[in-house]
This record gives sequence, structure tokens and C-alpha cells, in this order.
Amino acid sequence: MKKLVLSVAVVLAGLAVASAQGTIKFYNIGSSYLVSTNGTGTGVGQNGTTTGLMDKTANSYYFALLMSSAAPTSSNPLTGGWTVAQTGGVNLVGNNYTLIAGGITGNGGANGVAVDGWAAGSTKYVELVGWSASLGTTWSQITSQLSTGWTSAGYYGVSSTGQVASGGVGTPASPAAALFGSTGQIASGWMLSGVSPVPEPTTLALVALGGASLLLIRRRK
Amino acid sequence: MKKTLLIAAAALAAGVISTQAQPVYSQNVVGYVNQKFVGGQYTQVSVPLSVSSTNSAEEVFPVLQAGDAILIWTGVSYDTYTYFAQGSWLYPDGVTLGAAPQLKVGQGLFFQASATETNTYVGSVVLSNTNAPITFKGGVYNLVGSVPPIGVSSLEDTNLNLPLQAGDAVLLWDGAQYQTYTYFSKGSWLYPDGATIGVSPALSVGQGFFYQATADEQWTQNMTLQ
Repeated sequence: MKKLVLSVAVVLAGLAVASAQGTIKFYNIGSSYLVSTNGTGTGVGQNGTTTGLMDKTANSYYFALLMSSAAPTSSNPLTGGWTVAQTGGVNLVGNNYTLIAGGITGNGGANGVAVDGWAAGSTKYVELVGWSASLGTTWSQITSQLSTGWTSAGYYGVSSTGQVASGGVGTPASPAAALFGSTGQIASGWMLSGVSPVPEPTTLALVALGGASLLLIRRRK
Repeated sequence: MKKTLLIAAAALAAGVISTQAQPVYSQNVVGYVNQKFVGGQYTQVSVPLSVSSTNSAEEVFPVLQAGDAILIWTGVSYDTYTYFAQGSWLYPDGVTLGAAPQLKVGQGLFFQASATETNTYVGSVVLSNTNAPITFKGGVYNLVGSVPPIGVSSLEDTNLNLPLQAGDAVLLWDGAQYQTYTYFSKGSWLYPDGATIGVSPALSVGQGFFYQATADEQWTQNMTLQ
């Protein structure tokens, strides 16, 4: 009996060590967590007055999952202490759902995806960042513009912060953890607001110089 | 998953309960369910019958052999109880030996058989859980099953009475991985491939499943036999 107990205990311990990588469900079509924009859809970047669900045209919006082991200092993706989540060394970037306006689907869809550096069953802070395709298609394009200013018009927004214990625990693995929910996760839908490019000072100076040149030419004539 | 749906119960129900004018909340209906477990595989199970006042795992699974295990969902992971001999189970800590865990009717769990075997559940049918409905918290997984021992061709079946809302997900274990079906609207489910929209999957008698509600919901079953 003792040998059997010991052998089973060893097997159990081995399984616990083997199930290391956590999984999350980067996905939502539930009405409680849908994403809106503050535009009417009449033109990307036009700050409308009517709030509506994010359009479901394929690849018109992108999302990145940010995570943090420690409590973030703010929701700011650059300064709040966040890192972009990755799977297999590639950034986790999702899209707007093509079947339901306001829905999101990312890597793994409803089945979920393993996240690099996130141990199964451990808890991390999470937030989602969303933007329209007019601003770019990669997270690096967005971080660049967050630092220097928007270079084109579009929509951008950040979800509320949640805390999620990842799935992938044990054998069979526990299901991929939901990012959205009422038990500490991202608890509501959110809005992507219109943004517009801000002319840089050098651009303004060039405009002023051009105007002065025109005036000078006119006076000489 | 081979099953036999309550032949005895059906016979009794036809003869006895159809004469009742009022909804039936409790009947002393007994029956049995057969369920096959493949050796070395995990099977998603729901306890289909009340076998005794304690409903211990040994009473629920009379087929138990040394090395069989049941995995009880804690909300984030599993507590594994491994059967050695009558009254002797290895507890989740991997050290403690103790008595069989008690199970509720409709409780979902994984059964891991050490060898292929067929369990025959024998006990009373429970038709209602109105005295203790199940609360689903939004975003949380619950490993559950039907309280009445029914197999349904659709998860929208009124006897199953799941509190379906758009975005709710049902995860069925296929022996190797979960198959996630997401409820979209009546008659319309998103299939595991993430692209196909189709009708609801079926559920066997005694089959457990994970349910993930998109928001807080309550699941009540109150079946009447005609």
C-alpha cells in the first residue's frame, strides 16, 4: 500500500510541475463587455456625438493584452508598469469580432491561449488596449504614437483593470481563464474615443514660414 | 458515451406520474444509468442519481478499482481523490488517506479510470433543485451537470433550463481537450473552430460540462414527468 501511495504521490507531483504555463481566453461576445466607439461610423477619426458598438467589419480594430504582476500605477500602457502579453514570443493581438458588433476575438478564440511568462493558476493584473486600424496594426506602432502623438485619425481606448488567475492548472488542464467577468476580471465594456493627429511644432513653423514666404512674394510683385 | 436512460424510471413515470394533476417536485422514482469509462482517459461526468443519504463516491461509483480517481473542481483547479480500497482514498494533498468524498446529484467532475470499465449508477431520480439553485458568477467556470438524469439533443432543452445569455460558453471534454460552444442566440451557437455557427450540441445522461456565464446568472431545474 505504501509503495502505491508513494508512486501516486510522485506522479501527482510530476504533473503539477509539468503544467506550468497559464492560459487565458482573449475573447468576448457577451453583451456586458462589448466595446463601443464615440463615433457614428461616418468617418474614422471624426468625433461624433453618438455612441455605438464597435463596427464588425473584419480587421477594422485591433486589441493588445497588457499584463502586470504587481499592481499597476495607472492604466497608461507606457508608464503604468504594463508589459504586452505574448504567446510563443509573439504579441497577443486580437481583432474586432466579425459576427457581433463590439465583440473581441484574439489568439485561441474561445478555447484560449497560453501566455508566455504567466504560470498556470497565478494571478496577474490585466487590461486591454484597443485601436482602429487607421492608427496601425501592430502594438509597436501604437506605443510609438502614444509617445510622440497620433500620426493619423482613428479611435483608441483602454479597458478597466482586472485581475485574472490563469487557467491551465493540472491534468486535465483547467479551462482558459476569462478576461471578462464579475469576480475581479475586466468588469465592463469600454469605449474607444476618437483621436486626431496633433501638428508638431516644426510642422507649425513650416506652415508659418510658408505663409510668410507667400506674403513676401506678393509684396515684391 | 454509452448510456441507458432510466428504463425503470421511465416505466414508473409512465404509470404513476402521468396521473398527477400538479407539477411533480419529488417522486420516489428509482432507476439506473450505465456509463462507460475508458482506461487511462478522463471522462467528464455528472452524478445522475441519488444513491444514498450520503452519496459517497464509493456508492455512486460501485465499479471503482484501485487507481481510479475522481477530480473535483474547486473553481480554479482540481482536487484529486484516488481510490485504493474501500474506505481508503488518497486525498488531494498526496499524503492523507481518508474516506470517500461525498458527491451531490448534478455535481460535475472528472473520472479517471485505471482500466476500461462500465459504471452502473443505481438510485433515486431527483427532478428539481429549486431548494438549492446553482449560482453562476460572470466569467467563472462551473463544472456541472443536469440534476434530473436526462440526455438532451440541445442545450436549449427546457428541461435542462440553462440560463443562456449571449456569450455564455459550454465546454465539453472530448477525451483529449475541451470543445467550447458559445451561445449566440436561440438555435445559434458558435462552434469550437471560432467561425462556424450552428445548432446546439447534445448532452448525454450523466455527462458533465463546464459552464461559463458571461454575467451573474442562476440555474434552476424543476422538471415534471408527464
